[in-house]
Amino acid sequence: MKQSNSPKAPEWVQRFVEWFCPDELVESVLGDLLEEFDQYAKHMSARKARWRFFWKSLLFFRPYILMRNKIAMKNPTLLLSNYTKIAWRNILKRKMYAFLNAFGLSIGIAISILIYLFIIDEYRFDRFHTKSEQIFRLNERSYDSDLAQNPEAESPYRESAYLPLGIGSVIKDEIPTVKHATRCVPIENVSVGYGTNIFKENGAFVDADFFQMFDFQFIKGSANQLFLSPLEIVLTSETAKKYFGEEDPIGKTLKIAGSYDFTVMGIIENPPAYSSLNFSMLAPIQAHPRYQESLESWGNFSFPTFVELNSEASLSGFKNNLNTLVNKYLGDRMERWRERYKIPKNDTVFEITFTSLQDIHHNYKIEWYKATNPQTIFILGGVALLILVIACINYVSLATMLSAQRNREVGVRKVLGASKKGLIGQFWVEAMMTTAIAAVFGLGLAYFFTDRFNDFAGKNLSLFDVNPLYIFLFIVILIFIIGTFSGLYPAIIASRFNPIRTLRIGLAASVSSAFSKPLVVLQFSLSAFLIISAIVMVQQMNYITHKELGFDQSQIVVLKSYEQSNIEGNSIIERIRQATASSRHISSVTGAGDSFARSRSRYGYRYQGEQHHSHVFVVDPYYLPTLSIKLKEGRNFRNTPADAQSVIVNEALLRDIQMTDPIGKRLTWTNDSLGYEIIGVVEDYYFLSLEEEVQPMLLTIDQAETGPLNYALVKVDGQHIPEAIADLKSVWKTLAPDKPFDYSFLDEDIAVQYESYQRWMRMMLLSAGIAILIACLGLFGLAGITTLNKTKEIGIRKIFGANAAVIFIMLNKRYMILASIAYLLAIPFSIYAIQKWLSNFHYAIDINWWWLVAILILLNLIAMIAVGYHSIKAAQANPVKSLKWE
Amino acid sequence: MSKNYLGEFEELVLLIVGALQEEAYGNNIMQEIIERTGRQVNLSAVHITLYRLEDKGYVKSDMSDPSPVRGGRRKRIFRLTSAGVKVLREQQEQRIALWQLIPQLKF
Repeated sequence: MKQSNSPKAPEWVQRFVEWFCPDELVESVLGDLLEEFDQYAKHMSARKARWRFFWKSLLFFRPYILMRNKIAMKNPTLLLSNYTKIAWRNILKRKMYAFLNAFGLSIGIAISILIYLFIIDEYRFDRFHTKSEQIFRLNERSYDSDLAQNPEAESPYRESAYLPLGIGSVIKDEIPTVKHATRCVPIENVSVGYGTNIFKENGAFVDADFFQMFDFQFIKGSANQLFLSPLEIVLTSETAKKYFGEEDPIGKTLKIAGSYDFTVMGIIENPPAYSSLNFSMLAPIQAHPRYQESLESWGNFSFPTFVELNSEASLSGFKNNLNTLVNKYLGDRMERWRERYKIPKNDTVFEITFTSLQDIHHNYKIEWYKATNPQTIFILGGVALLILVIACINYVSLATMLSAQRNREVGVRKVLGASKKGLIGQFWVEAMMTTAIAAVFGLGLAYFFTDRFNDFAGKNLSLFDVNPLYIFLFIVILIFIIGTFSGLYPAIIASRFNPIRTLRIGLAASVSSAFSKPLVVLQFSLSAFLIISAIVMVQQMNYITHKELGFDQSQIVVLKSYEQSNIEGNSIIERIRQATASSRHISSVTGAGDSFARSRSRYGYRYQGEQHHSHVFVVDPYYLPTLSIKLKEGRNFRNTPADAQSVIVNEALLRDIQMTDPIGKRLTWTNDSLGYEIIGVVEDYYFLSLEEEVQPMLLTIDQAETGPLNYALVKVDGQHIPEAIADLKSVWKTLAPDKPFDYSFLDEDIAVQYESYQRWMRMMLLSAGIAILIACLGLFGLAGITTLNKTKEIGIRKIFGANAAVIFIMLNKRYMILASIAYLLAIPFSIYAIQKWLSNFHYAIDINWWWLVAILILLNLIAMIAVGYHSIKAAQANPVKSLKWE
Repeated sequence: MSKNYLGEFEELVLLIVGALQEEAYGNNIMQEIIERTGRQVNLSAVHITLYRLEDKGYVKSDMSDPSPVRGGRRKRIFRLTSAGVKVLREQQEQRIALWQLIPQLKF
């Protein structure tokens, strides 16, 4: 019997048992435990008894007990089937709302899936090599006096992946921890021929070690005994098929650059799209046209080099070894550089650093094939999240409003004994079901839009390229998260209804929209943000592509006339000119060392004791007239030997060196101490991207100094472009039968440099469109429900004489106000973001305030259209009917 | 066969439920096991076995009237069902049949 002085079992343990034990069991379990405790208390100390009590209670904490009410007592499978049945009926009953919800969500899910694919692809970049952790790319890191003077530069050091050729030759002997080393020098646009099959290829010069380091598997041939002679070549399976079809390519010869015969020694698999090393063929580094001379020339930085370290090598040790190596081979040179460029004593002139193979792709500061800023992932992820949030908000606000209409159902369920948890479960199951349906559609949408997305992302993604388990898991998680997020709030609201009130009054007063209003505002703010950004981007791109460039970029055909060190190609321009002189559709032909939008040569020169830099373009006397570049003073080049020692400069160069009256003055930009005479000044024209200001530039016809003319620029008759191209092609076939006829249009080439911006613009337009569409769907549904809730009010107003217009305004006013508030909230964020984007361009538009007002009106109009349908219907309805309603 | 399978401990608990009649609730059953067999058992083990037997349909349970001993908490009283009696009987008959096969003990 219980006595007042007998010890008590600890309360908290009892509460603990009450918490975890299913309701059906808790009484008898706790009763038994307490009875046991009383017995303990008789035999042992109170402390020990309590301890025992705790321990014995804890033993009940196990799945069989915890899950008991879920599995055996309540039979939840039965409930679950009831929930799904009711949910399905509800979806069918309100088809339109279900559609609005599922459609919005499916777009959000589709975008999430695509971006998930994108992220998977980014993550697996280069990681497929088994030794990817031991392979490093060497980088040069050198002091750049330009950067040192530039206050905006982060550091005076410049990093690139290009090294002297000799490093790759000596590194294995000099550094014991280096197991393998290979150079990997890009071969760009070289013509390759097998009989009449002539194409341009991109390949790489590599060492034999390349095949030991990377996991590109051999399909034919083997990695051993390879590249013993320089005229051997390994093709990827795709390339082999292109040239040889079904023939066996091994042992066959390919003619490269029109003059060298390479023997095919092996076929390897194509590098995947997620590889930083891209090539269609591989040739020995010894076959590089300037191999011998480059071996001696330690100042020629143009050879990317990779090493594989022993697994036990330490990275700091490797760094020290590299420093020693640099000092040994480049020590003298570094001293000379230090003197010439006045590099401060304590700063390193030059060193070799390294990047792990796995990091190459995201180390975007060092230029490399496909290297991207990982920020893109965050931005893309952010956009996906925005759209998903907007879609979820739809669900939440619609479901919350709808639950007001379902209060009778909730009331009946409650009266029949449904617990709050059960009701929340029911609404949650409904949300899950809607999301699951949306996910199925979303997967379909993702499939259909993969190609479009690939265009944008510059990738080669596919739903089937990834382990299906990953996608399945991702979708399941997505359904769970979205379903929970969007279903929980309406569920909690609905479960709170007072059953007595709802059953007695019938339709309860509408659910307060205190929560839906901010949701609508948030939704519209996000949409407005995307719209403003997209529209400013469109304007900027429009400005960039239509800006007067200072030369005539239209109707110019660009031909690449020269490749590798085939000097013969140089005279081809003159021959094209002569051969096309008779063509009625070709007006002039000129040659240039570089086409537009890229400049490979930049020279330093001294003027009045100061160091300056200028872009240098090697051209011919036909350059200015062909491109309609205006001379401000002086004259054009003439085809005389004397003019080879003269230059034409642009105004920017004169501004840079503050030279007035330039004609006849001399510039010393080569080793020739006399300098080149300035014979003309051209008006500034935009030979580079509009991201930058016009840079100082000079034109020369001195090919001996600056190299050959790589491009032929041909002005054609705009009315007869196909005929002109045909003429050009026939001329090309007779002049250079061994080279493919590859041409492009100058204006297209110039547009290419803005491609990444164009892509972003398209992306923003698309997301803005999607966001506004989803937001409108939500608004449409919401307006329908509020109009329904106000049916009686509208009827009464009409009876008292309100006309349709008044009703229309009454119903729409609130949404106009919400849209405007949302817009005002979005402005500062979008201005901030768009200014950041515009700062990429030197020539940027000002944000036009008129546009912002126009967007506001647009947004209101869109909102009005979305809600208009319901308001017009309500305004025109017969009041007798609406008063009879309920 | 597997449906009618009874674990050794389950059989023990089932027998005690039958023996204790109206007094067959968790704590009592545990005490009985400790006294009769001398082995240490936990209350939780007994409970779980009882629930398992209930799931198999060998026992059913009802709540008793409240008593002052356990802080006013009611006891869950377990009773043998006819299926429970049947399975015990089957088990018993099986044993006896097996006993009779052992020659030394038969004279």
